[in-house]
Amino acid sequence: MVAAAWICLLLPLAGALLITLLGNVLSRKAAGVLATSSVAGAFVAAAVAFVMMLGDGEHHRSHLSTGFTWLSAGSFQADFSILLDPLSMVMMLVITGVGSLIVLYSIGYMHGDNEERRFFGYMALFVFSMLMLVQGGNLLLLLVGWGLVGLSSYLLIGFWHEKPSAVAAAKKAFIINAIGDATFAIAVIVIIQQTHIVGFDALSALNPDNHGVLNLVALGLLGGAVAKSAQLPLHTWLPDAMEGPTPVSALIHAATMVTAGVYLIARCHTVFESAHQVQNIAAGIGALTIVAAGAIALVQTDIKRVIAYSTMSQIGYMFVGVGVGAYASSMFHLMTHAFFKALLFMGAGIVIHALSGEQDIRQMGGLRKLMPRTYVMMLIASLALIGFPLTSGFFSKDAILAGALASGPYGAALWVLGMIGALLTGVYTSRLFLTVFHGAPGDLVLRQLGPDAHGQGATDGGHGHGEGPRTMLIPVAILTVLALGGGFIQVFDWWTGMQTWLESVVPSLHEPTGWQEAISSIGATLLGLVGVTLGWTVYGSRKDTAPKPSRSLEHKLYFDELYDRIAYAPAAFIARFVTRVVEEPLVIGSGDLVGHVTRGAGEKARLLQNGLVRSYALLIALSFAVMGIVFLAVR
Amino acid sequence: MITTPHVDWFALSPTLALLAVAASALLAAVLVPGPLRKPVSATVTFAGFVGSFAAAAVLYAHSADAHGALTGSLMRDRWGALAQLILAGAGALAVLVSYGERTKEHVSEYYALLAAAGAGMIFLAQASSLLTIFLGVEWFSIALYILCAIDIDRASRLEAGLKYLITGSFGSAFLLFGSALVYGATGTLRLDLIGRAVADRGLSDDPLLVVGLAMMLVGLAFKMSVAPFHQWTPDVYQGAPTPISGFMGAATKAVAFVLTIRILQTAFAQDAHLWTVLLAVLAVASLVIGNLAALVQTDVKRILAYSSVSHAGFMLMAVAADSALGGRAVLYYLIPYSAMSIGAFAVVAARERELGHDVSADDLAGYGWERPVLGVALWIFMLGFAGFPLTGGFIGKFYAFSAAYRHGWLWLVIIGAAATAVSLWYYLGIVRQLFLRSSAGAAGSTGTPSAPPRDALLQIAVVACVAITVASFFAVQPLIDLAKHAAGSLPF
Repeated sequence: MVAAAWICLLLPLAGALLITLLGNVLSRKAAGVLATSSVAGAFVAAAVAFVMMLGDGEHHRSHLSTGFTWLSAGSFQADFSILLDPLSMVMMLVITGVGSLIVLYSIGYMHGDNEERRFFGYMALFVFSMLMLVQGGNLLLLLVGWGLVGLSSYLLIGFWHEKPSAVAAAKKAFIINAIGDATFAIAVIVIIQQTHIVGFDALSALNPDNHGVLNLVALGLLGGAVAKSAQLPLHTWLPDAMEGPTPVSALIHAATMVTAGVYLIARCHTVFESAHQVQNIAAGIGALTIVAAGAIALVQTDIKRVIAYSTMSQIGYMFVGVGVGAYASSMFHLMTHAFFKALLFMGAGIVIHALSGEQDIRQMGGLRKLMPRTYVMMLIASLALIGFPLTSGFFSKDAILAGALASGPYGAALWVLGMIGALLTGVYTSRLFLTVFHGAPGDLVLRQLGPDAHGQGATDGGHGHGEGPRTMLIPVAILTVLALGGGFIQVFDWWTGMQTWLESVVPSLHEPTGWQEAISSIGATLLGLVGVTLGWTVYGSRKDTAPKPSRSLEHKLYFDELYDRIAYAPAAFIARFVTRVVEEPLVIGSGDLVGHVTRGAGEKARLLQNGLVRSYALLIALSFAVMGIVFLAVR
Repeated sequence: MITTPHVDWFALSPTLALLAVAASALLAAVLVPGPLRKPVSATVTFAGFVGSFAAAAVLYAHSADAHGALTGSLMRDRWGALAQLILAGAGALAVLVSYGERTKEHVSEYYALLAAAGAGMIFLAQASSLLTIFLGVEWFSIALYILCAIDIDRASRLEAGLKYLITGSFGSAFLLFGSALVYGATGTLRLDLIGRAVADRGLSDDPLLVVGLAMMLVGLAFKMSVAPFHQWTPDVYQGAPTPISGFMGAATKAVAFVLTIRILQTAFAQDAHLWTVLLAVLAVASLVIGNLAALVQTDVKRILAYSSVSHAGFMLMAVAADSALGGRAVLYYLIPYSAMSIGAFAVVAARERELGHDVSADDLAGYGWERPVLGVALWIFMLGFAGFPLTGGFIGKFYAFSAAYRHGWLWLVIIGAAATAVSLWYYLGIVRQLFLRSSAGAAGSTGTPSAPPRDALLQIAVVACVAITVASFFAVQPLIDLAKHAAGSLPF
């Protein structure tokens, strides 16, 4: 079993290395096939490990396997090890399963791109990094994986490096994630210094009475989780990250990486339970994100951005879940969300593909007849997103809401926000779906896909109505089935597959009663349907009669502007100030001055230069004077 | 009557090897005919650094118990020996990087001076008396002043050399004056005896001593390029021959840090309440000024210079922690940091040779596609500077932060972490230029028709630097063990 887990971890790395090293020896197609098979192989290995783990006794499912000792100093020891337990197992299966489908889909999607090999190399690298994150056997390796997924996400968002917007988005994503990495790293340092262990057992070894340290650690971890999972207030990178290729959005910014924060909190649940104010903060952040992101999604016009805000909102549910101690429900929603959200992105990808890169939903419309298969599977994905009864999203979202209701009065407040979120989900989902697939086809649609179009958008595959080649449709079909039926691994409290599976690692804190389950399910479903009805009346008939959205929503609640004001502008100001007052002489000295001297316009310049060196000396002397006086004063 | 002290020639062997090489390279300038001059002096110098490295390795193995050599004015210990290994390695890499650049006259002199500077630093790594310290500092500084200005036909080189000379002398004057005050207060030159005198006679609040300490710290901070004593750094790094900038970034910083820790721990342990706080403040200043000023630079060498200032801040955090853990952290960090510094400047040097002028960030546009090996290498160095996993920079920063945290300075760790996040901005700026933009975008700056052929030696050096950067992440254990034993020879 452990061998299978190592194979699962290392196969994608081998794939990435092979694609990089072979370079042009490999044909473009072969690079895609190699990446797909390495990830699919990892899935097979994970599945084998899963089956073997099923054979273990319920409390003997945690396996730590050490590759080699990385660092040992005194009693402190850090190994290069992997941890295989039910929690990492769920993540491994989702990552490699959904991952292999998406990489397969990319073969068709990226066909004809100039740098396909690089793309598949990055994709395999990402899957490796993500597996490293969830399989890492101690906090340091988790941190390493945490950084690496940020790096591969950066590479993939900026994949189309000719697009300045893509490059800017990649940088923004990396830097905001670096803030989270930094707080996470601080938490790890504090844990190591307090306990002198680096394994996950350090989390429960923290002194439960030392609230300062516990809160600090929990806040640090939460900072990392919030940045990686694009929750308020560190969410602004995710919508911009949609500049990357659509399979990247499906894999990284919907199914796997952005849910790493949920995994982190579940993995470190003992710390959060001891520092329960921080856990409450996590739940609160999640609930606020549900509503804020849902509201912003109402007015976005870019098809991928709408789905991105929807992702933030859905991860908000997962944060509420882990925040109120309903860990299994959160992991359950993580899994079903990976299915239906990846499916939504892939569907959006097919639409964008068919329309030669158009992403503005106002240009779309009437695609139902032209793209029937895409229509059906987008319908199923949308229903799952809304939480339509018996689809996968229905079971998982309701489980979280019931858990929130069971956790007490604070949870009840979160429950209300979650309910509002369900309403918003209904509205924005129906708006997206109706504007894209119903109504009259726009000019662009007719030009690209209409009867007299010369198959411009459909040339890539030549299948069906420009809906892409088979390599794109097969993974989409599989995910459609999963989005529809994936919820049946846990049906209320009659059949609790996920709950039982995770019970030995992350036991849930509260057990919702029957009426709490019922009121959550019925309420969320009804509100979702009300939302759909609202959406139908507003957007179903004609799109231009839609009410004008509020300015603050169009500006995404002014978060970007706010950060520009409070973070970027002051930093730029200070940087300019430092440059002008402290460093400017140097710039003059080394840049312009050289020019002056060489051009023979010497005298004035030379004076300046002498002044420069004098000013350095002056600063040194002044600094010394301060140091000397302080030393004399405090000695 | 003067008695000759017992000389431990073995302890001096790393220095002597390089001194011999410096003399031979200088002789080569006269004796070897023109076309052979460059290969001969470069080979000899490279061999000298390798020999010095080997001698330092043997010295490390045979100096488990620290003891004085040359009547206590040098210490033969693992702390010095490990520093010598780093310095000699940096020197050898610098020889490789320089080879393609030295085309005109002064070739042999260049290598002779490089060997002399290396010898001075390697001597300084062992120095343990105020006299030998000043001697060592001046020894390598004077060699570097000349190296900066060696291409006398280029105004920028001359300017850099002159500025370095003037401000450097000013810094040295502080060191010398401070040493004199400390000597006046304690009556001895040897660091260990100063420490004992301070402890025995209760001199830790003696006005002469604390002012002397402050002055010495100014001189040392200058060499470490710690803000606000850093201003020479961007100027000199930009103006000096690029391989020399890389060598200074690695070796000057390494020797200055090793020496500072030795002085503070041996002689001024009683005054730790003064200098720990001071160094923490200076660390914050370096982090803030280094990172913010780097944001607005356009010249790549200046960006790297400010990055060097900010790294001085990170390392100072560990020094200020006043613990063996901090000492280990600095020694460990210096290994990947030196490799990254030399490697990054080497890539800039390669680009500079192709363009024939200074390299601005825009000049790197698309360079990663033209020269993938160098591009990927620079990319790795940038990530390493930013402290990213899979490079030694990650472990180094982690160690430095841990040391500061254990000292109880969480606020310093938070500032350091914030500085790391900010630094990504300009490191990524360089990476973006390298890869994420097609070279066609920057008009006329690339594809110079007379681009020189690939420089094999420089590439070897860069690849070696990448190997060290990455290997120091995976092979932490042996390096930490080395650093641990080295730190064990100082009285933390």
